[in-house]
Amino acid sequence: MAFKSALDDLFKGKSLSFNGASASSDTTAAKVENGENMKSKILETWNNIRYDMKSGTSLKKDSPLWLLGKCYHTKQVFSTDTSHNADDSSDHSNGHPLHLKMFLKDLGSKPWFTYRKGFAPLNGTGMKLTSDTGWGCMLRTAQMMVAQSLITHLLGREWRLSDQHILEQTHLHRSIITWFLDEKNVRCPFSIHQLTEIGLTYRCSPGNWYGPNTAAYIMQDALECGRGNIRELDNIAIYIAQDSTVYIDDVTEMGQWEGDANLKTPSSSNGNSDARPRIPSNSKSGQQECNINTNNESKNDTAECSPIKKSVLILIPVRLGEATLNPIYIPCINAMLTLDQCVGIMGGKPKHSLYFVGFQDEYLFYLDPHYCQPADKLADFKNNFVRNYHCQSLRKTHISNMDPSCCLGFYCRDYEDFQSFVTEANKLLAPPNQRMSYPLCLIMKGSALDHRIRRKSELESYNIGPTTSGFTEIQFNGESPKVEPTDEIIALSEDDRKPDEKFSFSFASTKSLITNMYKSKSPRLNRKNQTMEEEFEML
Amino acid sequence: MAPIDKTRDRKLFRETKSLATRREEVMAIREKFPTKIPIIVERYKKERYLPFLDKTKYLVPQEMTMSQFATIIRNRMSVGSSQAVYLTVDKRHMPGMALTMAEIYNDNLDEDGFLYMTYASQEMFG
Repeated sequence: MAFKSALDDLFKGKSLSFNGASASSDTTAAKVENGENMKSKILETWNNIRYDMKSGTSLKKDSPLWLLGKCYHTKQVFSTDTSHNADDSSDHSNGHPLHLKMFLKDLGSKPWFTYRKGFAPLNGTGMKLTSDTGWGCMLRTAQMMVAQSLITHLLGREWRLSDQHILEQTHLHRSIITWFLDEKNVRCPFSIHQLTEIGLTYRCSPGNWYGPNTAAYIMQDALECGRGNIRELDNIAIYIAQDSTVYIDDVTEMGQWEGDANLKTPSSSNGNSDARPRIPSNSKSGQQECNINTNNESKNDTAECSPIKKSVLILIPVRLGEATLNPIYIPCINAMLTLDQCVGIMGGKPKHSLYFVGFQDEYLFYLDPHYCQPADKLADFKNNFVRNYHCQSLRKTHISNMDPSCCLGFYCRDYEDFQSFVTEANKLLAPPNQRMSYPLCLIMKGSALDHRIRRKSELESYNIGPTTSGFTEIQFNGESPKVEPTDEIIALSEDDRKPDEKFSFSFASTKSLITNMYKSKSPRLNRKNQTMEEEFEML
Repeated sequence: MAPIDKTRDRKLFRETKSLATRREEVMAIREKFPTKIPIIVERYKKERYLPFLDKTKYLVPQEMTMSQFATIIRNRMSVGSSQAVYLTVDKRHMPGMALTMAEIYNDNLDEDGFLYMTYASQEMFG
């Protein structure tokens, strides 16, 4: 076949999966039952051809390569890593400079999840979908980011796929991959089945496209649901920064780091977050591993180490422009990828989700989920299958092709790691050379709740009164704001007939009240004679 | 996510009135309410997931912060807290939440005297 020539035979994992794809296309004619089936076949073939066409990438020799906070540069001395020389003979990247070899090895250790076909039908739609080709890429990208966070969490950032000599790590890595297999099984908390099931609560049904924000919430729920079944997930949590604002107290609370925050414990990570990966002594019973790196005296007693301190994966959904990426954010995006805590960006090119993991100059490196492979089953998942979940080929795109909608991910192992993230990120969030601050995201003190209460009290101090021209104006009272710890939200009405009322009601009734107010309003007379000011909404 | 609004389309405020008319409007409203800031809040033209707001023109106190204004806009759309809503000025990301409306206005004032803001959710990927 024509596109077969495009395949880089050097990459074993890829050619393996590719053979599977071409074998199934022979039987296509026999299997086509309806248009939907045909459409997905065509999409699958198209995606796979397109995927293969894009392989083969050239790199600049003298620019540093960045990959999730790690820098690979030609002038670098790799004194720490001595083990890799032994593996070099079997490495496909022979002839490359040392730093490039190291880079490719690192990239090849990043999880790569793609479209899959032939899994058990999904719930939620009339047609029984058995493949996510053409719609599931955002979820796959989200899976990749969470899997990378779990790898960093359990194995450490320095773990490489080729480190096969430590049996425990190989086993754990295999377990991580199996959590993402597409099967309805409590041992697969991040399966496409589970994710689409959760997606229904966010008004997303399988077959539809997903956005980075929704994908982030789905992963958060999936992690919470999976917690009971898989012990290794006990001490990691996902924080989502709504309105692109990270509230320090909320993250601290989620990680149960209050103790650390109040009383600074002696250095546990020493600035290097990879120093102590959380490898449980026995991966089946993760309960022993809690607080492995929090310097607690309790080792095996679960009662003593509660509340369990957690690592927090911070997800920040953003929109950096309208139709295209606003170029002022390019330096910020690059800067984010250089942070130690960065676990990548789930974003993409328009309509085409990609997992961005690194960059060189103005080119972003990514892992592309648009490649269809047959789904694997948990029961007969063999050790060598994990190769299909890693991509050995390098792909890049110019950063200006990036879609403005994306979600940044940062994995903070502990309080100290989080603090260093806050310090470093704060220096890099604001785009350079701007008159005012339009940061990539905000990191604020306090918790979201404080801010909501403060907003409420501040809004309460605005007095709603009538103006001469007949519409409601809100003035500042000058009173000291009253802080009430209630879950209330202020809605401001322009209803002329209740000028002196302050509107304060619970969230549940907000919608109905607003609707009623608009309904009850009498139709305005003399529409033509209205002054143009009345079109304004006074706040 | 299922798109809720595919067909309805509205003209942008800038397209409905001439520059001169808009200028007059701002002059008049600024004279009457010198302490208030006139803001136009419109839906991003390709937005398909967020509803239209019932009003596009807002007069807000100068000292109101961006976070307060964003809360009001979010509440007016009656969307859940997990829905992404981004209020952008001049195709940038959200202005810093602690900025006051006066600061944002002074920095991004249009030639007609209004401050234009666009709200959008996120794009979807397949």
